[in-house]
Amino acid sequence: MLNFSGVTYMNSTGIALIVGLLAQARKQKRRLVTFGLSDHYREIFEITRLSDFMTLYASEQAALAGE
Amino acid sequence: MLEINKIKLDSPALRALRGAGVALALPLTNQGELVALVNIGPRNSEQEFSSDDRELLRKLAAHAAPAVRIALLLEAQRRETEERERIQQELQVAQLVQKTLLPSEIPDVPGYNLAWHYQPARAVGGDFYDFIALRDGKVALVIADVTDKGVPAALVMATTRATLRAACRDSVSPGEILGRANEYLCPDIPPKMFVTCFMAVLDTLSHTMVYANAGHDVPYMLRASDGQIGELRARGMPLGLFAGMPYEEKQLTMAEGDRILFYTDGLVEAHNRSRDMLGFGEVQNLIRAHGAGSGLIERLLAAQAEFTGPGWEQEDDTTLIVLERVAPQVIHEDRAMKADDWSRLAAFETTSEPGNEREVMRQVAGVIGELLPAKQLERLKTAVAEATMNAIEHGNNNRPELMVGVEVARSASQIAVRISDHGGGPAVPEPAVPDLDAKLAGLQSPRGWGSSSSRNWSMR
Repeated sequence: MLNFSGVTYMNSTGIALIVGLLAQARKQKRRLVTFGLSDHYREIFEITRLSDFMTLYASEQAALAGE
Repeated sequence: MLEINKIKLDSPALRALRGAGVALALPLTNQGELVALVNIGPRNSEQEFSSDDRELLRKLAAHAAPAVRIALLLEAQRRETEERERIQQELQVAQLVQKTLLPSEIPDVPGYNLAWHYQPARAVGGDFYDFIALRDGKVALVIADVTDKGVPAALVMATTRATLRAACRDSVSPGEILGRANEYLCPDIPPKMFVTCFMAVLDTLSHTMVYANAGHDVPYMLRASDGQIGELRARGMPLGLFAGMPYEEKQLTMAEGDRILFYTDGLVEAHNRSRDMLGFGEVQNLIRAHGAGSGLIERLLAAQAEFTGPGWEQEDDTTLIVLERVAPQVIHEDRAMKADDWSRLAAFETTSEPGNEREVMRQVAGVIGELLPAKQLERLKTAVAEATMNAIEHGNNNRPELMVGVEVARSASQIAVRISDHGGGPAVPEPAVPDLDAKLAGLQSPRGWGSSSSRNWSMR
C-alpha cells in the first residue's frame, strides 16, 4: 500500500519508480494499492494508465476496506 | 659467326652449347649492340657448313638483327606501359583508401557551421583533417601537414591520423594528446620527415575552445564584435622530430558569429608567375573583406586561382576548414505565438543541478498565479518541471555549471513558458506514447515519461 497524502510534487522519475515497483509486485503476484493522491496526480495516474494496474483509494480506511 | 667446335677454350657456356649439339653460333648485332644469338645445330647431311651456307646466314643475320631489335623494344615498351598502368591503378586505390581516412560527413557540432576543402597536389597527399567526438559533448578538430607530398607523405599521414585518434581516446586536452602522439610517432617516422598539426577541442555547450599547436600554420579568428583578426598561437614543435616535447595550451571563447580559418601552407605558399607567394597578409585581408556569411572557402580558392593564373600546376596539398558559431535556432516556434501580441512576464536562469526543476516550477507558478485556473496551473507545473528536467539531463548533459533559461510570456489569450538549454547531447527522439504493458513486462525501461507527459499537458 502506497500512501501519497502530503505528496505535492512528483515527476517522471517518480512515475518510473512506481512502474518498477508495480512490475516487481506483479512478478510476485502481489497487489499494489494507493491512497491519498491529489486530483492532479490521480489524473496523471489515469493518463499513464497506472490506474489500470492499481486501485486508487481516497483514504487509508477505504483502501483497507477495499481489501 | 662462331664455330663452336673450333674454339679452343673451356667455359661453362661453351660446354653447355657443345652439350646441346650447337655447331654454329650466329650473333645478331644492331648498331654495335648484341641483340640475339642464333644457335644452329650440325647439318643433316653431316657435312660441314659450306661458304655459301655461311654467306646466307650472314645475310640473314644482317636483316634479322634490326627486326628482332624492334620487336624487343616494342615488348619492353609494352611491359613498361603495363607497369605504369599497374602503378596508376595502385595509386587510384591508394587515393580511395586515403579518402576513407578523411571524414566525409559533417559531424554534428550543435550551434556551429563547419565547412572544408581538401585538394592533394597529387593522387594522394600528406595533408589531412579530422573531426573526433570526445566526452561531454566536446569535439576535436585536427588539421595537419606531413612534409613532402605524394605516396611517402600519404603513408606517414595514415600513421599520424591513427596515432592521434588513439591518443584522443582518454583525454580531452589537446596539449596532452599532441604530446602523447609525438611520443608514439618519433620512433616511427623516417628521419627528415615530420608532421605539423593544429588541434582544437571545442566545448559546444560552453563555447570554449582549448587548442595546442605542433608547429602548424597559425589559424586566424575573425571576431564578429569588432571585425578584427586574431591569431591562435601556441608553442610546440612539429610531431615526429624530438621525443619529450611539451605542447602549450591556450583557450578562447567563441561568440556568435565568430569564425576560425584553419589552413595548410598549400594556400599561402601558392606562387604566381613571378614566383611571389600569396602570403599570410593577403589571406588575412581576404578573411576580413569577406566578413560574415558563407562561402569563405570558395572566395579563398577563387583568390588563389586568380593569383596563380591559368594553367597553374598545384604545388602542394591544400586543406581549408572554416568553423563558425551561429545563432541558436528556435526549432518549434508556435505559429499562434508569432501572430499574437506577447508581453514577457519573467525571464530567469538556473544551474543544471538535479532538483532545480522544482524551483523553476515554483517560480513559474508564482508568476502565473491567478492567470490560470488551479487545475490548469497544476498541469502546467508538471509540464514545466518535466521540460526543465529534460533540459538539465539531455540538453546540458547534467553539467551543473551550464544554465537553463526560463521565459514566461502572455498574450490576450495564451500563456507560454519557454525552457532553453545548450542543445548538447544526442537528439531527443520524438516522444512516443510509453507502453505501460511493455514496461511492466520488462521490455521497456521504466523511465521515459517526461516528454510524453509534458506534451500531453501543453497540448491541453
